[in-house]
Parts: sequence; structure tokens; C-alpha cells
Amino acid sequence: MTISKTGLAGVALLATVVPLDAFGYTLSRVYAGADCRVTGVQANDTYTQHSFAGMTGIRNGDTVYRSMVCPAARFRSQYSKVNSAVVNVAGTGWTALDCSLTGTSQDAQTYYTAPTPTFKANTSKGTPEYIFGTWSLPAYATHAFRCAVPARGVIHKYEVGEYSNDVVGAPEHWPVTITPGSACKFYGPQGADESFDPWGGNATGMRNVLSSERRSVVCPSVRMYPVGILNNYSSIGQGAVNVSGTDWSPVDCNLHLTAWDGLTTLTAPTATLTSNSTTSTSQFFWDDIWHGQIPPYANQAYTCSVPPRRWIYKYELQECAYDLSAECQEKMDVEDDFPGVAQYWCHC
Amino acid sequence: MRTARIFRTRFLLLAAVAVAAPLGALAGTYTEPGVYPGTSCKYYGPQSEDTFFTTGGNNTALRNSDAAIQGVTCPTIRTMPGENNVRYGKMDLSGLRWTTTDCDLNSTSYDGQTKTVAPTAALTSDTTLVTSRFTWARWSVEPYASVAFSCNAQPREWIFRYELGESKTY
Repeated sequence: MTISKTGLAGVALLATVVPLDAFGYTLSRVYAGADCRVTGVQANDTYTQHSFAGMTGIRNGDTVYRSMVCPAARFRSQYSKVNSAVVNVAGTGWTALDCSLTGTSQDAQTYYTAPTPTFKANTSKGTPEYIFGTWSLPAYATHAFRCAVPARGVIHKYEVGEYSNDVVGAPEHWPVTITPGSACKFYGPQGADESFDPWGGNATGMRNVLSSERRSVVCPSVRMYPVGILNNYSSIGQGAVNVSGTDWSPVDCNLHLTAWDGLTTLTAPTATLTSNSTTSTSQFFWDDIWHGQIPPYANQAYTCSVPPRRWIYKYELQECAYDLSAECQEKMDVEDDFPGVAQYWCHC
Repeated sequence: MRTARIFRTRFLLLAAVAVAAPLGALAGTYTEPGVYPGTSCKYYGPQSEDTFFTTGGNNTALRNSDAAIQGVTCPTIRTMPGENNVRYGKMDLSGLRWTTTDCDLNSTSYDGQTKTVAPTAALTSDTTLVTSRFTWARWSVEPYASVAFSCNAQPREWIFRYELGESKTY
């Protein structure tokens, strides 16, 4: 009887979240303009100023237009729809076509561009905005904004509203966060970056423009589920880095996590590297790692040693608050009162 | 066996609570964290002038390798932009020579018309680990404002990570 009552309570609680699943909603994320970067190698950036934009934005301090890329992650990448997007800017000289929203398929074979945004000049306040409508973008594609920023212009923020009918935190729906490669950056001081350009590849990729030398990048992620449900320790369901070319070695890209206090540092086992000679692309893949071993609030980044002329198209991370170990599944399966319970506790 | 069943059933109930709680079915407030590696920070001026911020510390941290203080901005992604509630901010760094005014939590309204800085953070130090932490308390920002941390990075010190927690009250 106790079991039935508590089980019923559990079902009732779950039922309270089901209605959201039935309709879908817009999941909005707002990025600071400081996340944007100039096109071309960063060593040539002699003009951007975050300090003149409240530390949250980016300002073109130059006297001429400068191109910038603003990478945006997809947090509900399994759906094929972007409900809305906005870029808020400041200054004079902005025109209707100065900002666009572009996308790239997960195999990097197809480029997309969102319909032309509505441009609101807001002339009296000098705060123009670009408002993008609903856009159909394939699942697991990446997207980024690109803007031609007029002299002294500022990008204050940009925003993407993803479609979702997912239930946040539901065990069977741990989302895969996909970040465009243009969010990576040169491993060393940016002033020494003579190698990486985020502009090509539809603004979603990062390319080593050097013709004969490797260079390293770091690709930071945001962790949205940094605390495990069982004893606070969590797992990684999967990680991936997608790149151009087939001349990579499995050790060229690595996945790192560091505890909040730095006492625990984790580097993932060597990735599984698969190559597609038809599309001339490769993927580094990590599957079910660190079963319940990631300390709470740890942070994560990828690093890659990029061969000359190669792109990083995207990187992705599926966090999981559960224990993914085989031991967990075995234990749960043996206790068969609730068949299938292991899928909730031992899988993402 | 019965104990095991009850235990696991309660486990399931906890699971249901864990699932429902983020949506506020039970609790009055739901807080969503975002944890960023220090490498997400960047020099606050033209990037060509950055000759000192290097990646390291298990490849997730950023170090000011210069002998002088240098400024960084550390942008965030707001996950509940329609709310006005920053529940907390945290920044973890190496060293013990930081002062409370070295790091700020900044907000700019969506149209850039209003720029605000959160009240000064609490600064705590761990002399054993030789680390410091800035912690910002609850702070009200405008809906759809952007948020970024900034620091006068001390010479030779690391920015390990930073974290922004946003909350929604039901």
C-alpha cells in the first residue's frame, strides 16, 4: 500500500510537468555582446573595446565598419526550429542588412540563412534592434550571428529563442548542447593569434588559416546541469567535436573538466575518431564517461591541436546528472520491482 | 526485500520531485546555474593587445601571465532572461591578494540604456588551497539585460571558473 501511494505521488508529480510537454514553448537565452569577436585572426583586432560597453558588450572603436561573429549555442538542438532571435545594438550607421543569422548542418555540408530580420531603428534612443522570426533549422545544426558593425557601433546583446517541448531535467530528455566552432579561441594570448578565423564556414566554424602549421584552440562550454542528483556527482552522457578533413589523430582533441576548487582535474579517455571520406569530415566522440565522478559545479572545455587549413565546425556536450555506470544498471535491473527503472537512473 | 522496494519507491518519488522541482511544482523558487570555465573570459580591450592571458590549469582556466594587473570580461548566457532575478554570482581564482573591488558583476539593459553593477561581492580566501572566491548575493537586473563578470586580474594569478545562478519564483 505504501508503495502504491508513493508511486502514485510520483506519477502525480510527473503529471504536473506533462502539460508543458504537450504544447511546446520558447526557451530564450540572452548572450552578452562581449561574446562576439572580430572576424579574421585576433592579432589584427586593434579596435574592439569591451570596457567602453559596460563590460557586457563589444564596441567597434574603429572609424570604419568591422565584421563580427557572435556564436550562439543550441540548448535544445534536437528540435528543428528557432522561434525567435534578436540582436540589440547601439550607435549610428546601422542599416537593415547589417546583421544576419546563419546556420550550418551538423555534417557541415549545408549552409542556411535565416529570413531577413525586421530592423527597428529606434532612432530617438539610438538603440536599433534586429528581430528575426521563426526559422526552421535542422536538428543538431549550429548557428551564429554575423554583423557589420559601423564605426563606434556597439553590440549590447544577442538572443535566441529555441523551440522546445522538452521538460527541463526530465531523465529521458537530457539535451545535447551544441556550440558553433566559432566560439573556440586560440589557446595562447589572443594578440599572438595569427591563425584562427571565425568568419568563414558561415560564421559557425573556426579555421586554422595557416598553410603548414598546427595551432591549438580551447573551446569553452557552459554547464547547465553541474550538480548530480545522486550524491551531487554527475556524468557526461556524450561529448563530440566535429572537424573538417580526415587527417586527424584521436589524441588531437581532448575533453577536460576541473572541479570548482581545482583539486580534481579530469581528462577524458582518448576519443573515438571516425572519418567520412565522402564529406571529408571527422568526429571525435566520447560516450558515457566519468560515471558519477564529476564533482559538483565543475567546469568544462575542449582543446584541439588543429592541422593547417582545418576547421572546427562544432562541439557538443550532453551532461547527465545520473550515474551512467554498468554497475548502476546491473543493480537496478536485478531489483526488478520496477522494470526499466535503470533507464532513469543509469542513462542520460 | 520489502525494505529495498520501499527504498527504491522513495527513490522514484525523489526522482519525480527532482524532475518536478525545477519547474516549481513544489518549491517556491527554482534556481538554474550556469558554470563557465575561466577560458571563457577575454581581455577587455583590443585582442591584439592581449599578450598575457594564457590557457592552462587543466586547460579550463585563464592566467594573467603579466607582471601587471590586466582587465578581463567574462560573459555569461542568461538562461531566464525574462526574469529580473540574479540569484547569485561566483568567481573562483588563485591567490590571496585579491581585494573586494577587483571583480564586478555587470549588467546592461537590452537597449544599452541602463548599466548597473551589483553590490560589492563577499570575498573569501582559502589559505590552504591558496585560492579566493567572490560571491555576489541576490541582485535585481532588468529582464533581457545582458550580464558579464569583470576583473582586474592580478599578476600571475588564475581565473578558474565563474558561475551565474538565475532564479524564478513561482
